[in-house]
Amino acid sequence: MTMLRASTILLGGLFALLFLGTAHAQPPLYWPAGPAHDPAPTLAVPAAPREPEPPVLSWRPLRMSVSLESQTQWMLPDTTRALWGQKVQAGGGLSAQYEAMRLGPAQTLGVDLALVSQKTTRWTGTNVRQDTSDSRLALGASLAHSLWSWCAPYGRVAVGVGATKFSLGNQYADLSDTRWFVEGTLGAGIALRTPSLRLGKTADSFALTGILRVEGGYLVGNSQSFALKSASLAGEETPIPRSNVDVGTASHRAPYLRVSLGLGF
Amino acid sequence: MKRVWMLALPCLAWLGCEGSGGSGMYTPADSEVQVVTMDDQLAFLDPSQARIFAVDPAVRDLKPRVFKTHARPLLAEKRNNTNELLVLSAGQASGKDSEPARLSRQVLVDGQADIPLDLPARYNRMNQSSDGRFAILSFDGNGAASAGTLLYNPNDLYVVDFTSGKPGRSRPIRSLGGKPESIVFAPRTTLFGRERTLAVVFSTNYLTLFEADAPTKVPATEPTEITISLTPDGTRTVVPTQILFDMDRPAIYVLADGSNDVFHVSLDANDAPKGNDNDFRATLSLIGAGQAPRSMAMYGVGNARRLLVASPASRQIVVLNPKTGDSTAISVAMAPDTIFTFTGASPKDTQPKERALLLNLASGSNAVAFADLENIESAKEMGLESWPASANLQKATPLPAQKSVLVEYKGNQASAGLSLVDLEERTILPMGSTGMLGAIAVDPTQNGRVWSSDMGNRLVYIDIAKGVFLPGEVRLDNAIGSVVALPKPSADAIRYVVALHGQGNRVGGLTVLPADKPTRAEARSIFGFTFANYLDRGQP
Repeated sequence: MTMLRASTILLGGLFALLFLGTAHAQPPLYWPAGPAHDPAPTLAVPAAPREPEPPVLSWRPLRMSVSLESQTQWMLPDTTRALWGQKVQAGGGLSAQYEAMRLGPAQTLGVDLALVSQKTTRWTGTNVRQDTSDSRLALGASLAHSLWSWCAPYGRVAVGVGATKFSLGNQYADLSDTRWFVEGTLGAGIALRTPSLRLGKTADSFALTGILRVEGGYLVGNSQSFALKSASLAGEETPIPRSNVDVGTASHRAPYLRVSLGLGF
Repeated sequence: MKRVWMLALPCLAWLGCEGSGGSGMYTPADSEVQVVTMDDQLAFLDPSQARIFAVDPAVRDLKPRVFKTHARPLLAEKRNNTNELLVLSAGQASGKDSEPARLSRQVLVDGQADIPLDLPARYNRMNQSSDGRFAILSFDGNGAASAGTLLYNPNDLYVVDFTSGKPGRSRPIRSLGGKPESIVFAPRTTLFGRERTLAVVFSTNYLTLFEADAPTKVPATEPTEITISLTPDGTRTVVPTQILFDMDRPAIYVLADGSNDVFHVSLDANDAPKGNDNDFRATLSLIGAGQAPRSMAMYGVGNARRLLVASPASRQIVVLNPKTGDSTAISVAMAPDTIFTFTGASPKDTQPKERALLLNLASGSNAVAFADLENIESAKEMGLESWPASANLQKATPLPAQKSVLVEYKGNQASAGLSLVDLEERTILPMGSTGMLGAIAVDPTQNGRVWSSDMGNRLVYIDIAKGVFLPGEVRLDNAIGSVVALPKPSADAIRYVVALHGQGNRVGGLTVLPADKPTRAEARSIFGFTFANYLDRGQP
């Protein structure tokens, strides 16, 4: 979480610089003029006509973006709350988006890939440490409609795979289990962007834009049944047989909110 | 304005993470898991989850049976003479899930519902009669707050007769300014023409005596309890510590801190009770018992009935004749504060007679003494025999079947942590140990096997055959916190010993082994059983 927060601040600063920089980055359209009393030099050979420079700032769409994102889930089922130890759980990760197809003058079809992790720790009523974490890789597709060049609502579906690790323990025992899951999400959101900042002087030069996406939706996945296993601490060659403990089955469904902040290029 | 909006975006993202992660944390109060030894299995009460986990060693994978208790369980005990678990719960005072305080009886069998008994108050202490028929619930002032009680009457008792099939009854007692410190039951016996069980309540400076049985009068009216002041002059503070019942006479003997006397309460029939009078009377007399007596034992029958009182301050034992009030003081080489009486032979006398072993456990003397009680009033010091032990004693456990007492030495003063005192041979047999031993568990059967651990993962045991110690050891995979030897065989006809792992058994880890053939090959473990069905408990 600290890393995510630091990255968010860094990206926010970069985002702000990107915008603030536009006020001072306007290059002159012509060679700088001299003082008024200093006439311009006369060229002996007429110069070739110059290609008009594109504007440094534009609203031309960019096709790729990478983002830092936070994902917040509301654990509605009791079993999910017990698994995570809290009602609201947040995680963070990285995602990449690609504008795959223009369906019309304002409609685009995008695909994205996200890697998100979340982790929580709590202490049970008997002072046993409970750790729960998961990581997921999700592939999404979104359909966006640009209302303005800076604002595009969109709908998104995604499928993902991941693993949840649930562990309990103290200095005397360490129990854990990891279960895979497959999940699907359905959501809608809005993408906001800044004008692109072109870093070169030609029309096809590299450009950057800041993008904020806010998306809400619902995720559903397969339930996970956990059976805690413990490792022998003595390192015996033939450990005493240990029984696993079934701790129950956790539902995997939750409303979610994604907030991502990234750079388009 | 536009720039401010841009700067706010990352902050929004940050808040999205921070706000959600920190809300709704579930942090119940820390609590210990209580372990209750049943006849053939172990029961674990986790008050924080209001669950009982019953682990039966006969179940091959040791999967626990989980029972939900009533709201806010406070304590669990095995009901004496049965295999039922008694659970006292404080209940829930308000909210949609409100429920009264309850005492429930639970047979730890799948599908077996508990038998709850609603209580009028949140009692937090339970005392049972030895036959398991009665339980008296009361308030322990130290734990009343944890039970959620703000204002309560500490002299309100609640008497439950499990055999009556009826709810219990509230039994407030008079107070002379004190409150119940402990409650003791007399053996059930026929007194004055009727079988009954007497209960005695210890309070600072007084005793309260009443009948645990429900009133027999019609209409039912509770006979007035009998309050016996132990300080008639009111100038001393006397705290009752030990009680003996002589139901043949009938009489009650009480020893108390702050007094040099034995309080002798004789019970006599009240042939013409009026109103709420009892059908018996109690008369108090005092018998001098040396200086600051610490413990007493009763021996002899009929006119030969005597009290043997240990007085460590004066290094004496005092023999009291309760009938005449005569006392005989006998000097002892050590300062006795603990008495074990037994009937057996001695090296000089093969006839089984009443004898006593005298120990000093409070201040840790390194001597023991034997007393031949039959003629000790006349033989005096000649009836005593003292022996040195190898170190200062701190605990003694009688092993009646072996005619022995197992004594443990203090701390690390001894190279041998244990010795076996043979009561008939009058020998002190040390058991060698190369290190500190963990808690000692004595086999509750007549096998005479003593269990312990090295405070690490070595389960050690020693068989106490006559004069021959046969030690054994099983190395387990985890450190051992304590050892429990189950009194009876489990459903597979094997009697088990259970090593509990971890402090307070919070995670729920144990290893079971057959008690008669404890080997690593036969051992089985489970860890985390107190979290069985953890996700299905609807929290936070």
